[in-house]
Amino acid sequence: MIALTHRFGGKAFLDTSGEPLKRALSAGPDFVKPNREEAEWLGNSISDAKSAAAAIAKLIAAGAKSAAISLGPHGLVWQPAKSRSVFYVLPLKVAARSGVGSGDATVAGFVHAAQEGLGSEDSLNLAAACGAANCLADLPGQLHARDVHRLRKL
Amino acid sequence: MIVCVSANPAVDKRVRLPKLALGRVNRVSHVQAAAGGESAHVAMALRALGSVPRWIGFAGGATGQELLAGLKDLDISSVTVPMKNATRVNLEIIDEDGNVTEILELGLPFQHKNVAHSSRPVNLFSAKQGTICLLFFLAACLPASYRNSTRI
Repeated sequence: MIALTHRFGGKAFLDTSGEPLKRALSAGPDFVKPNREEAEWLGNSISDAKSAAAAIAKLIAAGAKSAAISLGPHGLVWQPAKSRSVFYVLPLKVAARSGVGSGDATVAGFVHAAQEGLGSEDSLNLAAACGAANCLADLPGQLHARDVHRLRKL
Repeated sequence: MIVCVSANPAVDKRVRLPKLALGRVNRVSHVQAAAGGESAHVAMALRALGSVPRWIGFAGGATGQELLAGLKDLDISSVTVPMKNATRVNLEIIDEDGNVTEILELGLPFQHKNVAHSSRPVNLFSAKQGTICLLFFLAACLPASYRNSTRI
């Protein structure tokens, strides 16, 4: 499906782990975002932004064009496509109801940023704000735009 | 166009109770249910941001109908492959101290025999340039016979 997406000029963002991720990397997905535990199958122990950046380098070497790794309450690390820079954003402090779905909301932020053509720092800022806004939502994924806008300004 | 493809969607159920006690009867004080699974979460978050995502996935039984109704309520269009087996339910339990416990059904691996009826090939992207396709897969894999009937 990644190859077919590319054939039509689209971009493939992938969220999976383990063997499916390993097999999909060779197809060159435009973006992958495993969480810390999911990314550790690469062999790295991921404890901080530096080790996350090392794991991202492996994901990109294996075929991904761009990769992000969420460190949960310890932040988010991302290397954009065609970039040698790795970006790190500190976690946004919110009175969380639940973190369930926050990784998915973070992916949504990256996707929306790609669609809007945002720059690297704005993209990461939006993704992190979406992840944090999800913690305030009544249900996973049902974040409010007003929360995202407020958190982007922090 | 943004297409969110899910091989293992769900209905999310979030319940609240004073304290979760193992081995005891637990009575909940509040229950909420909504479309779930990673792909639906992303689609709903995108909709909140002003994007217009399209959700594609398997759905079956009463929970499948609940999933699709939840997406429709949020003005998210969906393309469904109807399944004989019911869509799974993911249970999230939050207690008064903010502790979150998740109980996730695995969902059944995709098998062609579980497709409720033969559906037309799904035109996923309409061959539009610039489509962003989000792919969410767990261990479920589509057999070659089904891939061949799915036109992209």
